[in-house]
Amino acid sequence: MASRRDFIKGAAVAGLATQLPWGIARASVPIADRKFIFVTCNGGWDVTKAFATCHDNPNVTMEPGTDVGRFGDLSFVDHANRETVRRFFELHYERSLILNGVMVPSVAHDACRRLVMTGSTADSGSDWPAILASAGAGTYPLPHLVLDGPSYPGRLGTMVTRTGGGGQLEDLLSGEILFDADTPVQPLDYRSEDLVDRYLERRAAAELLSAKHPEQKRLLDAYDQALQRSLGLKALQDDVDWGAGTLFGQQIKVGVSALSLGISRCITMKFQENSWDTHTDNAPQQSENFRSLFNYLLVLMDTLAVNPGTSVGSTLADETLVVVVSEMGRTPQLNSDLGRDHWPCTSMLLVGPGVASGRVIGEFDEFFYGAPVDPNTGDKDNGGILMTSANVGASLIQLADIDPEEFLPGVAPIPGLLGGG
Amino acid sequence: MVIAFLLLGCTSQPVEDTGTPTYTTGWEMSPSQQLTRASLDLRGIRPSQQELEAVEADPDTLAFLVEDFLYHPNFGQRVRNLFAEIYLTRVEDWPRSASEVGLSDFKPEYLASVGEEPLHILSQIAEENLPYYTVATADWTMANEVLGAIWPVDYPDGETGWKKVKYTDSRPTAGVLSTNAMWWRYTSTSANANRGRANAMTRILLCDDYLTRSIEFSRDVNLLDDDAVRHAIQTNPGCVACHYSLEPLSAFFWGFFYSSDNYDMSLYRPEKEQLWREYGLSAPAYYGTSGYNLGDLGQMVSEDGKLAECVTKQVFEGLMRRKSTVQDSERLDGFRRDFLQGDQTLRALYRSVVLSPAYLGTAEDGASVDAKLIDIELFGSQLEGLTGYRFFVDGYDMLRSDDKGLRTLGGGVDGENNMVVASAANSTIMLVQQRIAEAAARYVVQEDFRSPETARLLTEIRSSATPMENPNEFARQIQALHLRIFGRRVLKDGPEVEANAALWKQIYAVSADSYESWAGLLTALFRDPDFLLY
Repeated sequence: MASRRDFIKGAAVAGLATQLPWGIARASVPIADRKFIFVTCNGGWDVTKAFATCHDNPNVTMEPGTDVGRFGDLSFVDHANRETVRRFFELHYERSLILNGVMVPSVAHDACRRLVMTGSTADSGSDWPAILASAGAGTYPLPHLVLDGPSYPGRLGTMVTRTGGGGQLEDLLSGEILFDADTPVQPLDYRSEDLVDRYLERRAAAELLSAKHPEQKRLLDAYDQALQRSLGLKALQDDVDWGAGTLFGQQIKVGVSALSLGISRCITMKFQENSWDTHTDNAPQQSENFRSLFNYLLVLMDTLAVNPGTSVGSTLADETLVVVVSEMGRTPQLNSDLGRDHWPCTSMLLVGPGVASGRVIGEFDEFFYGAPVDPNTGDKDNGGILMTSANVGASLIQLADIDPEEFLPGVAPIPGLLGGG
Repeated sequence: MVIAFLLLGCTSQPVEDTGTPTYTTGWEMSPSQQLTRASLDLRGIRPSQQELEAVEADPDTLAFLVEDFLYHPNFGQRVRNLFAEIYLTRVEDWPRSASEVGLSDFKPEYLASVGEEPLHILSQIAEENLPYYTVATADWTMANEVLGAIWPVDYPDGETGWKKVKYTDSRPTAGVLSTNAMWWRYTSTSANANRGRANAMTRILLCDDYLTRSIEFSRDVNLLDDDAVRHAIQTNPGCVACHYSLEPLSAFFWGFFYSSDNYDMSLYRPEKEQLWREYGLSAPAYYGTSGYNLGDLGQMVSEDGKLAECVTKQVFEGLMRRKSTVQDSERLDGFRRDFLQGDQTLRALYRSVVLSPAYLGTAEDGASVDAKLIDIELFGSQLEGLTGYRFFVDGYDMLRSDDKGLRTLGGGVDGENNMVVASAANSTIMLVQQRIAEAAARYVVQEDFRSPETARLLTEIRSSATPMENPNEFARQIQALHLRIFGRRVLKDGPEVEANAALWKQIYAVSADSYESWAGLLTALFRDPDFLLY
């Protein structure tokens, strides 16, 4: 007897797959169609714990016991308490690019969070993952999957799928959520559910055909796409552990599954164990955060490496760029509570194909601002540009063969940041 | 790959779909649609049959009905929902957890209450027809039994519900500016020195968000040197532009400075009001006019013309679900005039906007009459209005919570990771709507067939009737549903009835259960584009 799962997939075969915009075989995905994982560390990280090797700068209080670690041309902050950082770069320095001295021109969490992901404080702007996902909208059922963390879809809202922090998506997909209600009710029988879905498909198509006003067309088009994507999601409900939760290890599991199964092009995750916003007692908290973060990044890279990619013979590690960011940096000197306050210059870590890996681009100057770089080479250049989160975003967008001008008019990408893979 | 598997590897077949006929409705602002839009925006529910008949008979009746809507018991909730997107206080991550305030057993109630304090002040101002500037001068706040138990307010013992109360810790009176919820939501540190709070105030009450301004961090300033920073804030053009006004505004908030983790955050500390001196910061002032404490700040805000200008813009944008543009300048001026002439009440402002040509789609300047996607709040309230069902799990209102609920998955705002209500559908919004619609449909079918005399939707049909055996009865019921749910009259032999009958029969064919068929059909109507766009 057919199960609900079989039925839903059967429905997708018979009724949906041919209508889905991503119904074409995955094998046709071009190599340039890279995948992306964004890891956000909300609160503002202390870059002197891992990225900013400012040991010779008298204005920067470096943690005692730290040293400059180096693998190839990539240097990092090494400390015995954070052996995972060393281990990570030891294994992955050739795939890693550290950006130092990136300006996020604010010191307020909300504004910086938006700036680091969109390059702007305007609430109409779309974030990098949504933009990158939009280029794969016809290929992926759920172009941008948000497992946790901020999302600024702007006008690209139809790209985004959230899983919820407490297993809500899984319960929504199965209908179990209705049994938990304080006034419990039964979901529709799956066959009825399918008939309703198809009825709505036809209603959406008919309304779209007759729509006259542009905004009505936009909304109906979004309705139609969202309906199709929700049907695709139902068909995939047993293939991914949607209810895994938001612990970072669980996010890795779900995110990599979604990439591996060709469900999503972009994943947003949030790493949050203890607070990153360390106005008091900075060192032990940041140290532990970085230790744990890099421990999980090791797991993430291992997991990507053992999952096959889209192209024959490649792995997800070959195809996925991991972008690790925090919305701001922290002051180079300790405050009276042994904390560090907000700072507008930060670092970013990019690991994977498409970037000029194996090196550090940018540095912090004597006052812990970003120093100018030659945009073409990434080398320090007093006549160069000051890197901002917007420049980095424009570069990522270009990496996916999207014209950055469409989303970030007037913002130049940094060609020197790109290359490799 | 899964998709390939879907295409090739599965043998199970879906239910046969015989190609149900469908129909289109088109988008136009007919009198009934204008009525529906106003009814949803002002009271969160669809218009009744009598109200629809009234505007059909005489479109001028709309103005009278809008007046009724403005006095509907749900109006306050609608005001709260509109301003919640601006105040962003409906967060669930407070600096004190439920257990820390002694409410371990009441976590859902605690999470749902704290952020409502300023929003209830606004709805109280609206419902009592108080001048809007009371928002910054009120000597009272709003609390329910939860806040009454944890904050120093004179909430009456043994009572429940939201009530006007007063703080008892000698704090200055400044409406929302002297509420705990505001400054629990917008906390500060000694380094930030309340600048974030000052910005929250200017953003919310004056529509001036410093954080949207382009910040040029001058490389000439050594940010590592406190004296150099203080000097730059006063002299460097790039800094002065913001800090000249921001610093003195920040100085008003020191009474809410929480100096340690173990601090009793429920209390205001008048003795800390002058801490700005200790930190060597600017004295409190409101754009050049000096003050002493939050009471002065509230008074000066209330006398600032920008307050009226800002609330006009906020209400217009909230009701239109779009940003105002320069083309709206003249109409915004008109709304503000009506607001000022209407004793500065929120009802006067809402009335002015809702009866305007721009809102009703009759503007002569061709201003776009955009359809709007209902938000998760409106989806829930109109379903509740139609069916009586509201989705709670373990005490959590699932449409207003993220801790367990579906708020952000449904396109709502959590004030942290999702700051703007979804303006178009996405896959998880569709799933949330599906399950809520199913629940409401299932519930109303059971209730209506169990108690026909109090039926809400299935008023024209018996549970045993089918479209095969009782086509006229069935058609009457479909007509009634379309009128009640969409505000549209459909013909008994029209395409809507035909399409709905076909769906009903298809579901019946696989379930042999009329309850299931009705639940399925109602679910479809509740998820229909015509139900979701208004």
